[in-house]
Amino acid sequence: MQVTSKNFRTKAAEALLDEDLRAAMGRAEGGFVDTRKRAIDELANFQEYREFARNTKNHVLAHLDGYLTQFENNVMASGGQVHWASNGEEVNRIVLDICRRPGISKIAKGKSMVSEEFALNAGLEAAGLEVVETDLGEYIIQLAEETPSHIIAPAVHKTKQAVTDLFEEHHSQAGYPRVVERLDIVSQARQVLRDHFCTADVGITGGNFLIADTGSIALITNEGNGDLTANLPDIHVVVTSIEKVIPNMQALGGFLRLLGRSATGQIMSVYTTLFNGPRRIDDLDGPREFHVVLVDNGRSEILGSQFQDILRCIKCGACMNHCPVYTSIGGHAYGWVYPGPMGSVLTPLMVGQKNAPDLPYACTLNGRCKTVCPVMIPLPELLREHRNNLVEMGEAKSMQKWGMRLWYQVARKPALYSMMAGLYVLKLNMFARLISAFRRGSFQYIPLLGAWTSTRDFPVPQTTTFQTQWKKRRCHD
Amino acid sequence: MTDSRTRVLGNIRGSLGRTELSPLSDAPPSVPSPRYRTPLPADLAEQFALQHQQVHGTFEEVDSLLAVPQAVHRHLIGQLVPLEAVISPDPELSSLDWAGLDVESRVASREDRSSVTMAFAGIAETGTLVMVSSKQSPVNHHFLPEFNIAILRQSKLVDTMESLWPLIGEHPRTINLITGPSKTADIEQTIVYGAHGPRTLHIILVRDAVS
Repeated sequence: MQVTSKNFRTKAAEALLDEDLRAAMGRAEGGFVDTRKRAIDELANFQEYREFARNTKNHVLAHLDGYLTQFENNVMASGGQVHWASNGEEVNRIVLDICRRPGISKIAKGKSMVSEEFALNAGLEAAGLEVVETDLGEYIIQLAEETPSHIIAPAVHKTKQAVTDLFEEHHSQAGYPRVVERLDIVSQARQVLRDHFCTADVGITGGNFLIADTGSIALITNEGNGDLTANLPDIHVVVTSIEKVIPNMQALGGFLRLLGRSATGQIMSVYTTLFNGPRRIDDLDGPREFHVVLVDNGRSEILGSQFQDILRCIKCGACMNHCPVYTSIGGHAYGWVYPGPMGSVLTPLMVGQKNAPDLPYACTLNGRCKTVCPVMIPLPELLREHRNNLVEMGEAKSMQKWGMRLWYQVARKPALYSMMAGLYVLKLNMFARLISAFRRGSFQYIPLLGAWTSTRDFPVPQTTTFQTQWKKRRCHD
Repeated sequence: MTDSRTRVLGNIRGSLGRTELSPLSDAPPSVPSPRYRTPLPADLAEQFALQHQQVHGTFEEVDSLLAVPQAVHRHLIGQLVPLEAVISPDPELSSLDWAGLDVESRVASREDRSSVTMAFAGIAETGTLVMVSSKQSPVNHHFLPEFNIAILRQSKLVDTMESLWPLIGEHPRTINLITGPSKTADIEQTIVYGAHGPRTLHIILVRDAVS
């Protein structure tokens, strides 16, 4: 996928003015946050599961080559083929090699964020293959020629009306009527996609967890599209990334108790399927070939770095659902595959910090993301690391640099600091009274802070600083 | 792709500061047992039914396998669908007296409106059906038809997923953990049932457990 993260500021500003988007995001935020909370409150030892998940992922990452090799051996033992890809180009080539055979023309595809990293669909289409996304959300954005704006709800930014229009535009030639009601929209998608499932030659899915000691792929969906994609075509290709491996089935249960609850507030998603190789000799259905493409694409470099914790991510989306920045601007402004807090950490690592300089600042450091993360990734700390690195790389803006330098000089001299702060506070308060430019105890304009006050009011401060008041109060005690 | 394999594993080892393959000698952390604020019913059948109904599944109990065809018959009438179904080629299911119903024991196709399957097990904690693929239990039965009826023996209920794994010996091609009918919330975050898989999931629990 093309990286447009450099335009973050412009796109975020545009997003804030998009009424449809704000309505959609408002609806989504409420739903995700409330249902998650209800589900998590019921599981009394949720925290114990978070610690289990963090420790398990850390353990696996510390032995990643060992677990991947074990996984590979077990996939092959069940008759599957394993392909390794260090970057996106290699993945595209591997999948094309599998698909470029006589008689293969259509590919059904289950939702896969990993495959968005290197625009797998575009690569396959360029080779003349038809690719049909089968997750309803992914299908909608495929018709709209857009990209996912949320990692588990890719079409969260689309209104029902927009889907009605899209379906009419794309389905009417085939004789389908215009559908307005939600149930009718879903039924029409079911019918249209059924035709594709039943005629696809290859099914491509992602994988949520790779189980090392059995060589199984765990795939989790609510719609059932992943299973139809995997079971109906003759060839099943799993495109997944190397950090998704876990030791065994026992560990899977621990992760499943966290994933559904964190993602959608579900105790268990509708379909959790474990795939082990191609159809067996006496099986009556299932694919005849089973391929697993293990994708690195920069992950092995994050391993062992100060950002390693991000590799624990199980892609539940809780951090974005709880992020005031994400829920205000949606996912597209972030400019690459992964939005929200986990995306702001991951994107600069995967596309280069210079290509996403604003993402580490798309954060108020409120810490909600860290609080809800099921694998306890310290997201705000990692974003701060990015900011440090940007400053060290000389990427900070000159105003910011001078400002910080000045503050640093003053802050090192407590007497000077408290004098300057006292003066500033007093001046601000006097200024407020002088021009009476405030209502309800707040400024609507402050010199030098025009950009800030253009969309917000600033509270009028007390006449003295906190430190002065604190001293006074202590003297009284 | 030997080159990429060597490169990826080499990069991983480099990042981990190792030169040899990481040994898997240390045991991974062990998984906690779940504790709920509102305790789940102690009886597994009751627990299973409660959880399954919470995810929009329907549920009934019968006294023996022999009563299954009648229960299926009643259910299909209730759904206002033709009295026909594709059943899994399971010897126990095939041996039942399906009089009054047009059943066929074969793989499912997209024309089949209803399917009847035999569950390998059920997980009470989450109300989850466990299907294990074999020549007696093809996979498409669980996904293609609009109306899925699953037969679950009470003796096959387990408390948690952790208790399930030891029961599955040699790994089959697929293990399907199914919790409720298919659904989507992709249109304005509102749930609609019957996205790609069955619109309804009806479970008939056979009370075969020794009391």
